[in-house]
Amino acid sequence: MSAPLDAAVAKRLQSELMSLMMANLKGISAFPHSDNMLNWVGTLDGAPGTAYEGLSYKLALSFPSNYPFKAPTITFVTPCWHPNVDDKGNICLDILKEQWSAVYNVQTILLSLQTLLGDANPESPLNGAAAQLWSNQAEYRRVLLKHYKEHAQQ
Amino acid sequence: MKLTITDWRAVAGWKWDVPDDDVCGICRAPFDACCPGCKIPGDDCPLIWGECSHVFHMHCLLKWLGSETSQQQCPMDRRPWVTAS
Amino acid sequence: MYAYSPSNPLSEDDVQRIVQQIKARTNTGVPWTGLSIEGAIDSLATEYRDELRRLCVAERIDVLKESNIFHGFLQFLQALNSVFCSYSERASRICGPDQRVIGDMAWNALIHQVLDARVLEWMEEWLYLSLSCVLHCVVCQPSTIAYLNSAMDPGVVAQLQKAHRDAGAAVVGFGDLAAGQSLVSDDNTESDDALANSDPAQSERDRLFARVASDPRQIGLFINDFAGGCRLLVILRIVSYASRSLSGAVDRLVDANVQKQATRWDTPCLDQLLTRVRLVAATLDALLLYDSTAAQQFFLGHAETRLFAKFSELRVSELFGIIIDYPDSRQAIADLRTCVVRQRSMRQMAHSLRNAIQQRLLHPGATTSDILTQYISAIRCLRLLDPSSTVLEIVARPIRSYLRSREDTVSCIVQDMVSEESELFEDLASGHGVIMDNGAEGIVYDEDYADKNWEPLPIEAKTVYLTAQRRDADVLSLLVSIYETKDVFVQEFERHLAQRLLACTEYGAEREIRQVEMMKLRFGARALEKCEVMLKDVAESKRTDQHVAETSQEKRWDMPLHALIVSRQFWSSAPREQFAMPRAMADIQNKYAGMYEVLKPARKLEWRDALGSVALQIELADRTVSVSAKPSQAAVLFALQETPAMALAELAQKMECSEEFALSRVRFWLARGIVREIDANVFEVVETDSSGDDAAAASMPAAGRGGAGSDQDDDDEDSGAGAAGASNARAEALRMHFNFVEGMLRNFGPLPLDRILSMLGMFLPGENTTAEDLRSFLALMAREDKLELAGGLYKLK
Repeated sequence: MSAPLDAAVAKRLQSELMSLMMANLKGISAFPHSDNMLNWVGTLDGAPGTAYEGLSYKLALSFPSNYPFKAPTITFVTPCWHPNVDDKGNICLDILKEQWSAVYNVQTILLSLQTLLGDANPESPLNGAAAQLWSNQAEYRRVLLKHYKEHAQQ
Repeated sequence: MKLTITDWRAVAGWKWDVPDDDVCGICRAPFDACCPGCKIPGDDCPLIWGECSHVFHMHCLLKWLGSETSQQQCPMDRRPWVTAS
Repeated sequence: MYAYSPSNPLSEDDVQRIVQQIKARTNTGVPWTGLSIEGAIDSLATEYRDELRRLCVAERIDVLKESNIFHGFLQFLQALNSVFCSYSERASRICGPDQRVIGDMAWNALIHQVLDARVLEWMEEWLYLSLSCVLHCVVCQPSTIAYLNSAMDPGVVAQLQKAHRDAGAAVVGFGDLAAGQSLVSDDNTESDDALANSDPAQSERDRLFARVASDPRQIGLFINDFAGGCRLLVILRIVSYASRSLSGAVDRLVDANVQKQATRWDTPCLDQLLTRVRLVAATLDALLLYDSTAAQQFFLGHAETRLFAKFSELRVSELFGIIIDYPDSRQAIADLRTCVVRQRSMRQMAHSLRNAIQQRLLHPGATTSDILTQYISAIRCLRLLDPSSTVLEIVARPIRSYLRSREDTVSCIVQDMVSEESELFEDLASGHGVIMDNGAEGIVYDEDYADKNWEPLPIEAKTVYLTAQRRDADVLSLLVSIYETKDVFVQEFERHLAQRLLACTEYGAEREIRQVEMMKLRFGARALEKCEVMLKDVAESKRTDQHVAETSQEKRWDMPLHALIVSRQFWSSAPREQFAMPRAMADIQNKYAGMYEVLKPARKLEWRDALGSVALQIELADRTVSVSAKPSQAAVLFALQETPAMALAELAQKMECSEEFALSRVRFWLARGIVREIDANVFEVVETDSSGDDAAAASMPAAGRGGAGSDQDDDDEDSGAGAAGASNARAEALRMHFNFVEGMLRNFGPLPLDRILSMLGMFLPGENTTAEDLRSFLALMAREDKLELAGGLYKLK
């Protein structure tokens, strides 16, 4: 059993879960682990009209004990070929680091990630190959699908 | 007919002067409830307004400003926080 | 050779001749054919049989019995005895000293043939009467026992003394009674005579009792006669033959004495009963069996066994009533416990009580409050009866599940809990520690689940295990454990507290503060946080009100308004009434609110106009009346103040409310003769009361904020909205359920039913779906093609 959860964090995470469930947005979803509310599983679908259309990725969300004063740690569990994602699933996104704000929540994070998929930032790449190919969206998609079939498809 | 009210026992609810049913962006609790660290709302758990007109539970904002990531900015708009007078 | 035949009875000469022949034969050692001893005895017996039969003829019996049961029977025995003596003498001459037994056996057979049911019945009657009288003697005249010792046959005295020694140390022997100790308590004397059997010998018994009670010499005579009769029974060999009559008499006596104790639960009686029964049985043993060592104390054992069985039966059948009567019936419980432990019949008792309760208590005719009271009595009673609590658990199960099914159970318990005179309040205030959420835990019915932390109960209760915590739990804990969590109680208490606080007119809430402190002790401080805020609101409101009063005085404003200001999130939502506050009243509110905002910057007030109570002074043309009314009712009058006669539609428009609402509020004033209907739905103020009936407009007592001036017809807010709202809420709840299930499955993949159920319970607040309900819900989703079930796992489509 994990260490007892601070009541404030639990309350906040619980209310985030309720809002997520009520909002019922398309393409993004997340749910906490039953044995530890600080760890969630997320599911992200690529937005239509982007290179990631039709693809689905699993994420691991890990909330610190002083959430929301510190950002959660988000990693791709499904291998993701993207300029700002490394081979371990780590993500380079400003709001998850120095641009984090206490008013962000799971919903905003997942929406930002979904946006990131369709709108990469090739300037600070964790995956050079992907960054280089970004300008050629057609080719990018081909390589992406190949990568997805090989590594991501279950 | 002449009417005089000699005594009136009434009930009223108090609320902070913020839009109804709003929640504090930091703790997600309604403003009219207290912050997660407090038990009693009201004078013991007041709100704080910024010059940017964003409002939070005072305790929540102070906690935010006390953390590294905050850079002393308003969590909503990232402008340097100045408390409204 | 003597020709023997039954129709040819033996004469005295015959007997002599036979005797000589036998003697001669036995001397020579030559076998003798012809009339044998058995044959001779048979013939003798035949002769006497007829004689005995003549004695036992029905009419003769009836006559004797009719005149006097007791003495008549003695006479009868004596007549039998003289026949016996004659027979005996002749038989012993035939048989000789070595063959006596043949004669005895023949007599036994004779008795068997002669004594029919009629006689046996009479014998039982005689015994019952005599034994009752023996008991009565001792009860009535204990101080004359000394006389008995001197007056009675010493042989009989010795027998009785031995008998009473054998009956146990608790029984004082006849000799010891001389010291004046009474064997049984005096207040039972009346009940002996008052025994209302449909007993035909009732009057004779009464006469006999009266005779012995009046004169101690009569006791001596009686006992001598009785002892003599018993001796005859033995001699005449009737005892073994008539065992059923004997046991029958003893049984009747036991039963009669037990029955006397029916519904007498205020004193312990088992010991006394035991003593009395033993006395009687020991007496019989002594008088009838004194010379047969093997059968000693036969009746003693028999009577004791029957006593315990019958008494047990009686009390068990009365147990339901005993519980209802508790605590007045405490004494009966100790007795019952002794019995049941001895009979090893705890479990039967438990089941019989459970059935009684199910039939007589758990039905729609009983109020929840009654059922709770009886449950609490049962807890206390049954714990006295069985400290291991097994019986309680067996009996309580149906009560608890029935209580769970009643909607007002929680509120009844909470009401009782907070009323300071009740025992539950004591439990609340006790230092027993915080009640845990343990649901139905604390008890299992199967050995498989038992582990070393659970205590198995005595052998009788093989399959019931209780934790020590459960067994020692106080009444309040047991009641709370009827439900899975204590939340329901806390919520009900919150509701109750809110109601009470709204009802106070001044800001004093000492009693409520005490109640909250008590609740904290047993339910934990965390659970009561909302209540603390409520109490703080009251204190805060008082300060605010004082400030407003001072400020109003400074400004020379009239301020009749006193507000209770609540923190919205912590008080249950108020009922809403849709109407516009009249200017006069709104002005007052606004002034108050303005002063509040100065005191508490950045805060605003929202008036809850459905609550509250306005004390109005109404000056009419010919009278002045004071009435307490709801704000909406007051609003009607203010509207009428400007336009004294108004149609309903106009009134509704002015008050910005529905016509139904306006009408219901008008009715309040119609009932009090302040307003009258002059035309269909047109109302006017009654300035002059022509009917001369002032009583109708008498001032009503000031009510608290909770419900001033509430009348029957005021509370017909549209219930239609209620029903629609409920079904909307249901649809909303279903949608949320589905979103949750979808979220789980999308992120964790296919899941089995129990995982889904446990995760719902963890993350969806207020969730209490059962597995069955969930299964049907998921089946519904599957039918709507949203998910599918494959290999025991649910999957999104």
